[in-house]
Amino acid sequence: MALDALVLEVTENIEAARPSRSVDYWRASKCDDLPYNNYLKWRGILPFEPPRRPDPSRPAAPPARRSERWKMAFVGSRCTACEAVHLPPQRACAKCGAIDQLQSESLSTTPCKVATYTLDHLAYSLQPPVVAAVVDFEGGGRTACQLTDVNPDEVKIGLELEMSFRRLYTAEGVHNYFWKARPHR
Amino acid sequence: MASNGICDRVAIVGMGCTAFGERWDKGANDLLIDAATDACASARIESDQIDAYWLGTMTSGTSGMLLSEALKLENKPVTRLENMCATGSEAIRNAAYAVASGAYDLVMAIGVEKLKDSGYMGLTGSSPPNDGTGATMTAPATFSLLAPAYAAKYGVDEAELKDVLSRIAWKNHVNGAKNPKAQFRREVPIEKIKASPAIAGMLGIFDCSGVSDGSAAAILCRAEDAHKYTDQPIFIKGLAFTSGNADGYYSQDYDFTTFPEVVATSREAYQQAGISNPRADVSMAEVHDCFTPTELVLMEDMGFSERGEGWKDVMAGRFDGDGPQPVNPDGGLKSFGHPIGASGLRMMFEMWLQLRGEAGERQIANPKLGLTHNLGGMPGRCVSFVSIVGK
Repeated sequence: MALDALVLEVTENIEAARPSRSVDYWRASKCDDLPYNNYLKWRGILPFEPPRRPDPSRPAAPPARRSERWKMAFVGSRCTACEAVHLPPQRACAKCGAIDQLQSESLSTTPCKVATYTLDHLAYSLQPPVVAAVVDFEGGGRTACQLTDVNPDEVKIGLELEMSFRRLYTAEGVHNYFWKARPHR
Repeated sequence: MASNGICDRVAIVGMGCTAFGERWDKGANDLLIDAATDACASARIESDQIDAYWLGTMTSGTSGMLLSEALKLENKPVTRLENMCATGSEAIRNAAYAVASGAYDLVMAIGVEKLKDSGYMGLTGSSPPNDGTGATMTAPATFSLLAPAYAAKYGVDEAELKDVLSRIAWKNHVNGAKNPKAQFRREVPIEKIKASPAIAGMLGIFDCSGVSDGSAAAILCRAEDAHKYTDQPIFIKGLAFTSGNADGYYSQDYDFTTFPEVVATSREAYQQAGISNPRADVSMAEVHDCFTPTELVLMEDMGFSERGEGWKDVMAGRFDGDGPQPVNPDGGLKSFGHPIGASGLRMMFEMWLQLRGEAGERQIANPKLGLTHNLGGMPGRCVSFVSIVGK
């Protein structure tokens, strides 16, 4: 029997490499009041009747690869000609029409807030209703996405949010991860 | 950047429209045959006199062969087109330009959609393979975004706005109750509308248009030939279409109380038709009431109401069937459902009846100019079509 051993040594450079959000930060926002039947539903143990809507389709690998930085890192683009921010990143600026003059810009930790919102009782979700919002970012940029870890009653225009990388759904065995917004911690 | 328009150069000389609803007994091919046959009979022509066809459908088939195979057409060009919820209207626009160009003398615009067979609630779309990052809001959710934004901008209490939206649904059902081709033919008490189960945001089930099957068709020719086919042709005064650039989806400047694409298309159609005051000059309109807040915002975007005043005009009955400017006199999407490829042609069918004095108990007194309108997509990211027709 062979054995591989790996020894890691922490240097002073660790301070510069720490993630912006610590383990304690994540622990502090845990939610432990989930009803047991919801837990079973989310784990796929308890079957439930789906809505009379088409099942979501699985993401396709080539387009996901092309948009990897958007999908995985929430990187949009800013027009170097007019400063307009685009989510997802665009080649043509929606404001001034400039082509290929946009630079990548990460907005995954940019403060954002609810511009307008709705509770969608029709959309496919393991936890209906879907709380969906149009989200505006400090310094420009807008996206429409789902909210998560949120009490529908607390959503209002202007609610401060942060982006969070989540599993949207699983289709044909493929877990589809993307970004949702949640109330700012 | 402009469109020259074809005011009074093209006429509609025949139309047909099936009953809309749960047509379990008919396939898309049957509905097409019924609408095409009625349209030809109305223009007193045989189908082999038609030179070319424009067929609108979003999900009920592909290619012109959906029509040519159903009707067993011999060597006729059929263009199948799709432009979201404006699909049926786009069939009319492209057919009109074809006869205006002189390429053809007599053409048919026809649309169909067979939605009920899927068993799904609401409309569904299919996307090409994608990265899985698209927004997952349904159509009622996206249009429900209009309501709180409108309420906040114009200082309308949300309970008051609910009354306004309910009155729009009530009015369209009152009109639809008088229409033998409508899917829903009963008036609905306003209290029942207000109390209907929640779908999205402020919208209940009665704030949403239905899901139905249907088909409608129009025969078009150049204006100088119109009286060969009918004593009462109607004439195209303006046709405008825009594909939005989705600016409202990217930009924080968009505030969800307007459809800039509708403002642009209605202005362009008015210009082509020589309309300077749409509130006074447009006798009646069939607009895209997919959800009640849409119709409210459209009244302002089309210039029927001042900004922020549309809700007062709704409550005053301005757009009622017997009001000064009837909107959706046939019952609208609310009463007909929205078989996508057929809806724009169904709207034109009401203009056809009204302008010819054939609308029965829905008849508007002496209408001069009518407007039809579709939009497809979502607030901030949509296509829009506006036509003006008249005698």
